[in-house]
Amino acid sequence: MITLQGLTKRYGGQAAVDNLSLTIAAGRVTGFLGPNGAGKSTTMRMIMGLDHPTSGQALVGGRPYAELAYPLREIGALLDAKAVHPGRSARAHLRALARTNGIPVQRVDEVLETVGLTSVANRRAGSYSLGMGQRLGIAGALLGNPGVVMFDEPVNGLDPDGVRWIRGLMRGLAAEGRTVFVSSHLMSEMQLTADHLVIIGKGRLITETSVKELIDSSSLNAVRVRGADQEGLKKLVARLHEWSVPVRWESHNELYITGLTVDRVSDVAYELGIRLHEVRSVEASLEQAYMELTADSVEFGAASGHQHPGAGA
Amino acid sequence: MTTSMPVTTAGQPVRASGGGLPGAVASEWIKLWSVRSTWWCLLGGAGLMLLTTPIIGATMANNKKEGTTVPVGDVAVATVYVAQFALIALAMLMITAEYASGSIRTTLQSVPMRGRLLAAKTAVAAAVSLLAGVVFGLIGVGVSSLSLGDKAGTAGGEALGSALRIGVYLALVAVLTVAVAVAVRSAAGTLTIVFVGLTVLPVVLQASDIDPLVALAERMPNSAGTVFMNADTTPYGPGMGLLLLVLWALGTLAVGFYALRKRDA
Repeated sequence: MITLQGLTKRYGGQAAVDNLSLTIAAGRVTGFLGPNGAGKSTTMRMIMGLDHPTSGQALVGGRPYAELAYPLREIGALLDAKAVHPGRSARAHLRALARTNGIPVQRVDEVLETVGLTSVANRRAGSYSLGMGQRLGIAGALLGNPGVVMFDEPVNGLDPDGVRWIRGLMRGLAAEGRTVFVSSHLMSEMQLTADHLVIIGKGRLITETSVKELIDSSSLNAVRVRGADQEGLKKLVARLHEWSVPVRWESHNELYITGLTVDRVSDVAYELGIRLHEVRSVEASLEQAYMELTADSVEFGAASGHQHPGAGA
Repeated sequence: MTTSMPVTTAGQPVRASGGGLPGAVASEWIKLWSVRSTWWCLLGGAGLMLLTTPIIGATMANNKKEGTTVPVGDVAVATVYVAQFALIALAMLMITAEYASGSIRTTLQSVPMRGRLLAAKTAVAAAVSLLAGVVFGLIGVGVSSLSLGDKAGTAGGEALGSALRIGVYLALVAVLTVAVAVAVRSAAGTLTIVFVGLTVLPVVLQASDIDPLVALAERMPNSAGTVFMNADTTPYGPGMGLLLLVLWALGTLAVGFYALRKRDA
């Protein structure tokens, strides 16, 4: 379990992390989301005792990182895949790590096997691909068999096979009852992997919710209506306006209607005698729900077109 | 590399012992010997001793009056001022290579107590430099007695004592280097500070002819090291030379420790 209590980090006058309080529970995958510069990595570095909080504290199993006698047995983290001396072999790197925390040396071979690096364990880490470096970082995180694992952007630069592997690994670790805390930019990936979400923007907590709740709450869940009868569609729009139901023309023969069910829309069309070719519900993706939620807290946003449901789905 | 199979992560429970300072020292030891640069530094230092000792020995012999001998220990000491940079590089890389690669964050995650980490790195750098320094010293006295022939002054245990003192001097220079590297983090910065501090600054101060500055130059690591290694009696004794060296090393280490503790990694 990871506990943040009023965690704050200021650089100069600006708060990178601003009074963040939360508990990351065991037995599930908690996704840590937020735009670039939202403070995700800073938060993770403070949890790992690398950065000093300006105020507040981050606790692992109830204690600050610096007070853990054998930290690698409590929490393992992949913060930066390339954080290995390029001239050192994976095996030597892990053996050196193991010695600091009194971890038996045979555990090195176990984790190398787990991440699939056994055959290249004696090669210089500098010769590794990004994916292999990522696997080595994960081997280091698992070395002490910790109850808490934390990954910062673990699927960055991985091939589809590697992405699937990480997904399975994280699900597996959570199923074993461990705390899994993972940051990512890839919403589609989080939608598949995470149970719970912590979303921050500009260093502050925006929301803490489940993946399902977040998607359900999106205004972009809509009913898509398509038909060749333009006059009929106009009549439908007029009726919906009377009821103050939000409706939007997607093209000359397509409507998106928010707040009504497919059944209700179909009934209204039937009552009005409109011939339709398609009525179906469109569910917002996690990405869309997330974009909607964080629209105000994007620090380095570019001017962009209107987000509409179904785009890129 | 296909690993889409089910993943098992649970291993045997790890034993509740080990780690601590001995674990941190063992880790630094493994790290030091698992990169090639360590071997290059040691071979380079030994090579420098082998190649420059005869040259420096010949120079010193030429400056002596006909019929007098040159103590081989003095030749070894003079040569060490060149070869020391190999061990300075070795000690420096224990810190700066970690900052350059980002692996310092992995290291600090495994040993979050900054004092323990610095103690482990310092101990390993000093121990390796002590042993390498004695070997360098032996190369120096051995090669110079051969190259100087009948001009070699090889009085009894003198030469062996010189080799031992060279080892101690280089161990303390290694500690000094680790301390500077921890404080500044970059290789270029560390090398500049150590080089200027050891060789340039004392010469500049000495040349100033301003008494307090000359007195300071005489008490800087370079001069203190010369007095200690050559067992000179002026301007102070070898014991004082050793004490000054230790004070410089510990003082710089305190600065490095302060920076390491205060700073975000």
